[in-house]
Amino acid sequence: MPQLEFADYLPQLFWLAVTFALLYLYLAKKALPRVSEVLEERENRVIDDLEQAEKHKKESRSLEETYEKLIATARANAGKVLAESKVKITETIEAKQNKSNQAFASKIQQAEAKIEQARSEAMTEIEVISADACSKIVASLSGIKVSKTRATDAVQHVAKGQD
Amino acid sequence: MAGHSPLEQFAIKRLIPIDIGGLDISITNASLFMAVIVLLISVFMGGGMRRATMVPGRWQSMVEMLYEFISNMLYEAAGPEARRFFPFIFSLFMFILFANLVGMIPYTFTVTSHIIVTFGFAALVFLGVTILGFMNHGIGFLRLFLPQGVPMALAPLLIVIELISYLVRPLSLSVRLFANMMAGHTMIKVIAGFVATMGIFGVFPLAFIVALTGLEVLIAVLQAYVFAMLSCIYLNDAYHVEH
Repeated sequence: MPQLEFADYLPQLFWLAVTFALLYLYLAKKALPRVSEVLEERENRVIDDLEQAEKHKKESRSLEETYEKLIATARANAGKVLAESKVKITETIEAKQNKSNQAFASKIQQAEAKIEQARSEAMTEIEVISADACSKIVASLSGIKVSKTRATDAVQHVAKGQD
Repeated sequence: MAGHSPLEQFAIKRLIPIDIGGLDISITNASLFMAVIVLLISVFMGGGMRRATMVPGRWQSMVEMLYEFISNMLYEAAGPEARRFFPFIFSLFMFILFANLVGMIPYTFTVTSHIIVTFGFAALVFLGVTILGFMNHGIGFLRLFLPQGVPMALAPLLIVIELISYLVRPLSLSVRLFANMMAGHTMIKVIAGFVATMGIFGVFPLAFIVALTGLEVLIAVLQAYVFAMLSCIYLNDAYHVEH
């Protein structure tokens, strides 16, 4: 069994000590600090990023609150303005309606007066024409001349009787 | 067929004989592979972190995972005080792991299949833990051999048992690794001999060797872990004497 060759022990132990010492020095002084450095850097980065995210979250939450407040104020203002303008508009409409109603009423009165006048004028004219026709008819039928006054009286009398 | 004995693969060959003052420190096939192992570990560790990025690639991930694995193991087994021995435990684990794995490649030499190498590591751990224990606790380190709350009548017996189990640690630690490595390689070699002698039926032992090789790779990793884990547990004694 080669493992029990005592003559081989010393060279193996010697080189084991040399190679293992070299490996230990390399790992302890260079390789492992490098790994821990990278791991630490990553951990710090992750922690930083998480903090940043938390900060952003808080910021967005406060922004949301501000936004909501603003919206609420704006909504209240809009309601107030709406109610005010409604009242104003109703008032204006009523005032204008009143004004135009009055204007119409006076115009109607004027027109009625005009119609009345025209009617009475027409009535008088009809009487004159009737009297004239009457006297002419009487003259051509009986040869009696009827004065204008009498004819007019007769016509008026007939018109009244027929009323 | 002396040259094809299953144990021939463990033979130490002097490649460059060196003799200093009657001490034989020749460069052998074993020292050659020790150097190869150290080189491979350096390339693995250095290459993985050479262009380290915030989001690691595969190679960098392997290095980082090994780092965190050993770091957690040491922390859980020996506590935060043992942190300064992390480079040692990591070197120990990597050396044994790479020695075992390199040994699985055909025609290579398995450094850890020699009892003197595994005993060298085990003795280093044992002596280190013992010295550290006395440095930390002074003579109080001897309380390790007498658990608290034990009846005085049992004390003599218990002290003897605890003392023996403590002193046998370097042996059990080194023999476990050495025996696993040697047995696996010998078995593969023996069965490989059947492949040649059985002709066409040699495919059966061949298939068995394939399966066995898979198992041996597993054992190679597992034994490296066991060795490092037990070292951590022993290290724990140097810091926490109370059971």
